[in-house]
Amino acid sequence: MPSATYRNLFSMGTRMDIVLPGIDDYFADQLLAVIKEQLTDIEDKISNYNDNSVFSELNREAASKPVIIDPEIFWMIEELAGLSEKTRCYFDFTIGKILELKRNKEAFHPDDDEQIKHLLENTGIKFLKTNRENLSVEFGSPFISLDSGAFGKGAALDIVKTVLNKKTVNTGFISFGESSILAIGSHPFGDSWKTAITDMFKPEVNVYVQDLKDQFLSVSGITPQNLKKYGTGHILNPKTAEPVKSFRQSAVAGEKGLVTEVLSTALLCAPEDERDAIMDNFPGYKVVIIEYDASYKSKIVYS
Amino acid sequence: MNESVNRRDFLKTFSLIAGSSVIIGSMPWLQGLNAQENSDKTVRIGMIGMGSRGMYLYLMLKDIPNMEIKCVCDDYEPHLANALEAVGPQAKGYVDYRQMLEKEQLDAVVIATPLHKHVGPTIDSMNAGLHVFCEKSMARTIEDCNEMVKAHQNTGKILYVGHQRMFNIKYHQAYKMIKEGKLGDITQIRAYWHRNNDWRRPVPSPDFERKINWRMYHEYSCGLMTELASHHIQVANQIYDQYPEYVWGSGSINHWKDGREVYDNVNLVYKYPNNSHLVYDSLISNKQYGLEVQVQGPKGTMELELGKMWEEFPPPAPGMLSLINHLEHKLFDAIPVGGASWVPDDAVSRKGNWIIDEVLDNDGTKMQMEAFVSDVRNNRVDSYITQQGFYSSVATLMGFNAMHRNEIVYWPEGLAM
Repeated sequence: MPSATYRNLFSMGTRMDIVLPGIDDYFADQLLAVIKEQLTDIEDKISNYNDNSVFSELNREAASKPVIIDPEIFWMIEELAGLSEKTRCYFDFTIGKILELKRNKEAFHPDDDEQIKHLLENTGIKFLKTNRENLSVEFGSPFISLDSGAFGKGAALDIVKTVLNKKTVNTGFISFGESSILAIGSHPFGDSWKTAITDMFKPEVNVYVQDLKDQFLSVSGITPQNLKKYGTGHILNPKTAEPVKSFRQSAVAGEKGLVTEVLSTALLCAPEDERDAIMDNFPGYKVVIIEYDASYKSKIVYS
Repeated sequence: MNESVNRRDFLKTFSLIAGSSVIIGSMPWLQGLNAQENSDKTVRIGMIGMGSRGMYLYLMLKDIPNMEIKCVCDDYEPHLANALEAVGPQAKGYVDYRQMLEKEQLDAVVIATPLHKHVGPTIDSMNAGLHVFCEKSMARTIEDCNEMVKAHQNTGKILYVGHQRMFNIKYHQAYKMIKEGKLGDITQIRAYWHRNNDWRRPVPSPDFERKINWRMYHEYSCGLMTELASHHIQVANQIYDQYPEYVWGSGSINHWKDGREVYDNVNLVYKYPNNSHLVYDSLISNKQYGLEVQVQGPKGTMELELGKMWEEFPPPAPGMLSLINHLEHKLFDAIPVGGASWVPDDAVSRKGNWIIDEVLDNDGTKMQMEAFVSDVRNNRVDSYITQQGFYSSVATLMGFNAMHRNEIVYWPEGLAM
């Protein structure tokens, strides 16, 4: 078996690293070209930074009329709405306006609290109307704005898996920003791919090890780096619009990238007493939640 | 902001990014910024040519400690009056620079006259024992450039040519990284300078058209080549550490058909001895792309005006590097993911990385004037700046000739300093 081939590409503002054992350079480049094309296509459809994307079109027009959209995105929106419901709405992709307001620190001032409250009351999947007959989407509230930030990488990895399966690649390890992982088959010298969630304050320490075989892993976390970069936790609880403030990581492993991505974010926000109820809706998915105490000591608080 | 504070900031930032004073030592034209000797000695300067560029240089000079602008000279009365009002009553005004050289006790002159009037005051000033700062390009003809260099060599006087990118921190860091091989061997430089205006100045009457709008006429200027391209050609020469072997190109007047003689668009390819190229274009009918110098090598790309770099093959993220090492050593071990090392946007991205983190609000002109005054004060003659100005000016004029003669123009045989 030739040694592993390494490639990378950029999508959704993040680097994707691809390691393919036993694949030669020529085939790796062919695979990369197909993956790039497919990821560009999905990014063009769901990006909030592209005025011509389906999401942007919906955000502009769907509050005033039903908008017939690309079938792939229609079914994705239906699936996301279902996931939102299953996570008890701790994943909510309709709160784009709240995210925009909270992230624009310079424009935000205390008077905006009333506005946030109003937005919270008028966003959520309950205002999302989909019509399977003509594949249209309509917003029942003008305050809805779809945001792809919390699930895009998972959707992208699902696409990568489909491409690699079609091309009969049976072993590979793909990392999207080191927080979203796709493991195809198993390590050439093991019976799975072994991943380690490291202590965010002591990177040399593995807090939890997760074996993956034809599975995805999504890690969400509030890390010191996030705090430095964003000034506060960068993940908002969609029910309160408050950032998750404590140092916490959640890691979810399972068979679908979109689900692991959604679930890891939702579990980071959900209160302790709702975690079991949420996980009951996701049989086959494994979760671990790690918290850090005042002396930055890690502890697995849920698995 | 006080100018000397700017110089301290420059040196501090430069020291941080360059790593050590050894680097400054390898860029000898910067020594003037470091010099502490004779700092209380007043440098007496006369300025020749007080149009817009001359006034800009005055603004860059005026706050330098222990520097006195004793006189200003311009043969266009409104410019002279404007300069005298700005500089103040202590400065004397002259219409003829020769009278100024004869009557004033000076250490140096700063020349910002129209291009065709660089050669006279530059050579006369050096022959009169004065150091010279001359705006780029050096002169209207290669022969005049050569005469200016000979005067510099014969008199031993400083001859700065106004290529301010030689004093821009961002450019220094880029040169350092390029020399370290961050981009690999440079295979191509693409540069462009685009504007969208007629490049004209208002004239009080048609009688002053050629005097005010001298850049439009071949007798006085080579247009976009001498006034803009010379900067980027200097940068290319410095990066390649060579002057070009030959150039070919094409230009025309395709938009501003208003009686001007100089082209409003130029397109050139310079070939360097190491089989690399500078591909250059400039136009004044579209400003979409502004100006840029793109330096390309097998390992990466830099855009020097923007100040960013892109790697062709960014190294794997830390966790993936660990995995690759494991695979190479046939080890089955855990791959770290999602840990403290994860800050996705800090990774090398398609958005590129800034060449320097700390950008001073400075295009290099202030630092260049600081260095000039310091060098004059210490009588420190460094010919590298002169050489860079000379080679850039010659290459600029070669490009002009190539377009107008519609032929490949080679570097003049034996021309070097």
